[in-house]
Amino acid sequence: MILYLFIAPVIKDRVTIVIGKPVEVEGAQVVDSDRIRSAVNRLSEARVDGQWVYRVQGWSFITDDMDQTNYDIFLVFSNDKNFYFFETTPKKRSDIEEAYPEVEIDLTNSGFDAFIAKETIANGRYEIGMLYRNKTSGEFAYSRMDRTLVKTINDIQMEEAGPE
Amino acid sequence: MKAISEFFDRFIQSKAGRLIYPLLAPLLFGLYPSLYFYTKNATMVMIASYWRVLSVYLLLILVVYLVSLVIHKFNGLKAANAAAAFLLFFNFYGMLFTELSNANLFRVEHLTMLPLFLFLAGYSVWFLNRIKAKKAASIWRWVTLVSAVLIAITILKLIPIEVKKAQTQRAAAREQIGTVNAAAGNSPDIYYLVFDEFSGLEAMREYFNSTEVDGFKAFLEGKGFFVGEKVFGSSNHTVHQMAVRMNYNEYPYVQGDQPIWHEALANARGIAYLDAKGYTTMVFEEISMLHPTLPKIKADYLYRYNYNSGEDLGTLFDEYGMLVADTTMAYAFERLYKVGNPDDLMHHDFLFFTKERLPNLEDIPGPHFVYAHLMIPHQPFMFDRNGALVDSAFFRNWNYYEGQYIYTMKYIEELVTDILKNADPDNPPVIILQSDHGARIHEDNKELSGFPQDMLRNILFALYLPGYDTSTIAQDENPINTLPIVFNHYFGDNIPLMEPNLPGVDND
Repeated sequence: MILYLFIAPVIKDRVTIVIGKPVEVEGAQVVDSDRIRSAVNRLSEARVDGQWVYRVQGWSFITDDMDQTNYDIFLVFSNDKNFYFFETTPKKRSDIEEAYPEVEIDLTNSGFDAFIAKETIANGRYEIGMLYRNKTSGEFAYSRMDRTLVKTINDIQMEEAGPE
Repeated sequence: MKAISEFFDRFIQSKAGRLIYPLLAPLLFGLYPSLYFYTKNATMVMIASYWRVLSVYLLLILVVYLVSLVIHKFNGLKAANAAAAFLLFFNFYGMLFTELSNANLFRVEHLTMLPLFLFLAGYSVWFLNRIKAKKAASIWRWVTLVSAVLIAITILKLIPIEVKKAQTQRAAAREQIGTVNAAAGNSPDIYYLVFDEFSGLEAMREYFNSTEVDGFKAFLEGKGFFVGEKVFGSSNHTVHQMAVRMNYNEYPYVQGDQPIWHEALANARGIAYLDAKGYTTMVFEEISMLHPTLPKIKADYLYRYNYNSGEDLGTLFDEYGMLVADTTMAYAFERLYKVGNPDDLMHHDFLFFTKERLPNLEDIPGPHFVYAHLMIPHQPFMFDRNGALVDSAFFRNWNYYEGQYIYTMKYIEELVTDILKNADPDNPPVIILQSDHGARIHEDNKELSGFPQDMLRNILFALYLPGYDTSTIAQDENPINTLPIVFNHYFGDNIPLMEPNLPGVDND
């Protein structure tokens, strides 16, 4: 029975997890810069194509390029041991445009959704950040946020980042 | 006394008795947890909630016992013990799941834990089948005795709480009746019930091929309603439409005029008129869910969507029902009975509160004017056609509109039935069923395409007007005429009526 408690979840993951897996980002450089403005607003459970995953909702934009579509955007969870990159899908956020009236960039689609299967992340506390990869040059820009992700065996939560 | 004892002896020895009396053990054992949770929360929970959970439990226990009887070849005692064992796992699954999950020792998930618990329950049933009859009888006696003692102690604790609760409720009702002025006359109660985004029947028939709308129309006509199928509002804006109809004044539909409509609805002429006629005016509204800047609508009683009624919602899975379910194996299916988002939950509860409350206004002096504006079948599309909860991920997916629409028809049928059932037959109420606008499935809708764009303003329009010759009402009646029709007939007014709104494709 003890064996079952430890083996059954692993088998279940192999069979059921399709959405929310982290992706490989070759050559990714996760060095904090001030080129990106971003925030995560919400972490909630959602059912996508029959699978329950966590949906991270937030917004971001790179400040030094008028054309935001030049970039692939990833949500990053990182700590001393692990890096996880999750693909994002753009979402409309009219409130961001209103919040940054001085920015001349088109911020209509500055929102994002990322889907996370929590079983794919090792337990621990993670820094949350956004990684931009220029589609043409392959250049990276990374910026960390003021929230952290805490993953335990049975739970996943976002917390305000503590002092360094 | 001796006769009773002999009767029981004979009953227990009889063939039927040997099958029936062992049921006592699983019955007492299975019912105890729900009684315990009720007693613990009795000051906050209506007893109606407990009766609903109790009836579900009775059914469950009976089914489990019958299945167990078959498994144990109609040996009553062994079947009862096995049923109690199953109920042990059933009743404590959710509680153990939560504790194990919080302990964070290993991964705890329903997909793996529920099969394990079912296996353990099955093993227990098998094991209990193997023990000798004498031991089975001894186990049965202990289970019955302990459960009976626990239930007796719990009931003793519960009685004073229930007595005090009843006293408080009676005192509150007396106080409320004393504070409201007695209204004059023998005027009928008037219910103006608005179901936001309820498409006209024709569009549902044509686009969704929904045959249910014909049953709904037949139901309404069977009750004596006039049903207008070609009725169009003058815009697709909720507050504009309700300001227009509540004031019987066609405010121009100009973007930016929202503050004017807000003011007009908050200080509605129709409500003020009825107030002056001696009506107790009551508003149950969810418009402020989406229009938070809407000022409070002036009425004697205003219930907004975030109103915490503390009253019975009439549903199995109210706060208490969920509390009990969360401790049992039902917890594995919590997504089917729980609404996660607090706003969605308030909306869910408000719908059921309103449905229970509207037919039961006897604690408030009449005649009553009730304006209820409910955000259904409007988003969130949380109900399927049978009233079961949809996955919250789909609450904003238009593919779920039709299911919620069908459920809304059932909701209206039940509400209308209850209002008419509780009404004074010598002074029946006026009931107005409407929507503000139709289903706004625009051309650029992501999920649904090809919805006829000239039907976006086609609305629900049904009137129950006792003593009124409804053949004089046009199929394409202008909804602005709703209150004038009522006031002209019942109060002898002479408010001019407006020409119908025409269908058409709008830019808004």
